[in-house]
Amino acid sequence: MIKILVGAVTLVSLLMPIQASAEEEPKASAEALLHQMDEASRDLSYELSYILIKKNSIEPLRYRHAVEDGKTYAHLIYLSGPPREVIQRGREVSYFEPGLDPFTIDSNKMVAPLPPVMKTNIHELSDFYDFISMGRAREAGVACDVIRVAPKDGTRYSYLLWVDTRSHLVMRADLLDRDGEPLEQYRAVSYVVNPKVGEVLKNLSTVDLPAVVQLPPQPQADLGWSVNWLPQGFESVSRNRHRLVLTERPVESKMYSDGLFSLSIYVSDADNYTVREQLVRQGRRTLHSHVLGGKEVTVVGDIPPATARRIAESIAFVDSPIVSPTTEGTKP
Amino acid sequence: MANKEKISALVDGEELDQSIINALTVDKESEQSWHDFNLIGDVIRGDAPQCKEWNIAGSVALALDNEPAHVGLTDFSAEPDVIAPVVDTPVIDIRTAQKTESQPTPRQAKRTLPAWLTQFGQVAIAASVSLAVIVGVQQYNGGDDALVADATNSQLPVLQTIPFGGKAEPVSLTRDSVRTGAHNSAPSEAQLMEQRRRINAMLQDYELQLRFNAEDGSIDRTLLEANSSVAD
Repeated sequence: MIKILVGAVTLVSLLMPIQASAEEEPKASAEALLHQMDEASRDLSYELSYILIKKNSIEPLRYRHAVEDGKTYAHLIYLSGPPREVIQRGREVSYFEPGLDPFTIDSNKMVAPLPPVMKTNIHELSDFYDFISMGRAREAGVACDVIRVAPKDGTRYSYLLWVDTRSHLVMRADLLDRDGEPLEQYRAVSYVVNPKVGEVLKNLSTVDLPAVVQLPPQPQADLGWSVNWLPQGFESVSRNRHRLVLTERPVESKMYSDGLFSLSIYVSDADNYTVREQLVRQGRRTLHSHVLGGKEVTVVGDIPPATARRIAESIAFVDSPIVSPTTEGTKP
Repeated sequence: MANKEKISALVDGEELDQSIINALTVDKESEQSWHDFNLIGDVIRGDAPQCKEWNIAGSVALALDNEPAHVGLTDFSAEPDVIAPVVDTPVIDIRTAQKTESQPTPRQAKRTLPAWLTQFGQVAIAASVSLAVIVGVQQYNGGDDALVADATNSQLPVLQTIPFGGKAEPVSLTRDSVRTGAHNSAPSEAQLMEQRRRINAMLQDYELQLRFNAEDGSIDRTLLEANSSVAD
């Protein structure tokens, strides 16, 4: 009897470490899963039908993606309402929208309501985001791994991703605010992974698309102001002076991105239409503006209002006597 | 005397002798002493009855002796409530109420009430039920409203004496108040339109900037920076 007991105890004690390592494994592999997801979204030929749910709207969309002869073809189409499309052929991305002349940009990523985190540099993200495995769930009729992409510093939104265990495509993604309330939900309805999608998309190579817009060389002029606080990981993407398309207002702008979310800072002259301080939220987008020394400082981006406000208040004009001149791109 | 002692013992619960119980039922004197002892005990314990006519059993027995046979419905004039106050003033009542008496039958009771009164009773019950329902529902809804209001206005004080987005204005309408009111009023329609337009312009420009600067992370960003600096 005692022998059996001792045997059972040793068996259990032998199994324990194995079990423990099995429990730890998903945590370590959350990042690996994201890498697989990233790879799958870049390399596979697939068609994804999904809906984008916002606070008061639901938008059905279809995304096709294929790689043919080393060239990426992608096609996003809004399925309801006026026709809106985004077509990508290699490094040409064409936008078709009502109210705007179609135009093509030299870029390798379309900016559209695509399932997020696809085609982002996961490796870079890991510096500022935690990837947490949340177990398994079922979406779009398939078993999925649930992964949380949570910012380390709490100044950004976070994502909850459902990644298909077999194809590693994103089946569902929730954009959550700081309180865990969903701002946007991408939910796949059906998907196909098939090389035939590539054959369909290959037809796009013969379609006449608008010529690539040649941007005038951007004078990377020294702007007379600097940003003294940004959440960690936001790096300067561009800075320039231009006029807004809609109002012809001259602005100075700087754009920053951390690889997942972006934000822009605009500085323009204040006039009697300018509101002293205002905050606008449109789903994930936040606009915060306030008047500082005769200038209107506006922060627009996919960031929580508190962060936008803090950034806007950290702006200092270099020639103002209070703040000593700081170098461009100061980061905390 | 011995008997009395035994009765006393019985009253005190010290002795239980079958013979004394038998004697109590038969012997009038013993019975009287039993009564007396009990009464003395009651008085000592402070349990003495309030009224003098505490001998209820005797009164009832007397009343039953004087009770005539029931004669049915013949006599309507009889007071139906003679029996009721037996406890209060039993002896007198029973002495005086020598007349025949009878309980009124339901039919008879009905006849004494006016017809409208019985119906009024039914209507009153129905009305009170519906009143209770209405009051209840209103209370319930009202409570609900209050809850909702609480939830939405939880940040605001209950009594808001200063207008939300401005300052208190004098109550009287003077030329002065009109003039200053016009100055401090909310932005005009045109101003609002312009502000909205600017917000939209800003958001649109942000979207465009996003597109112009989008890159899928497959290229090393340092390379991109190097390229752009070469372009400068």
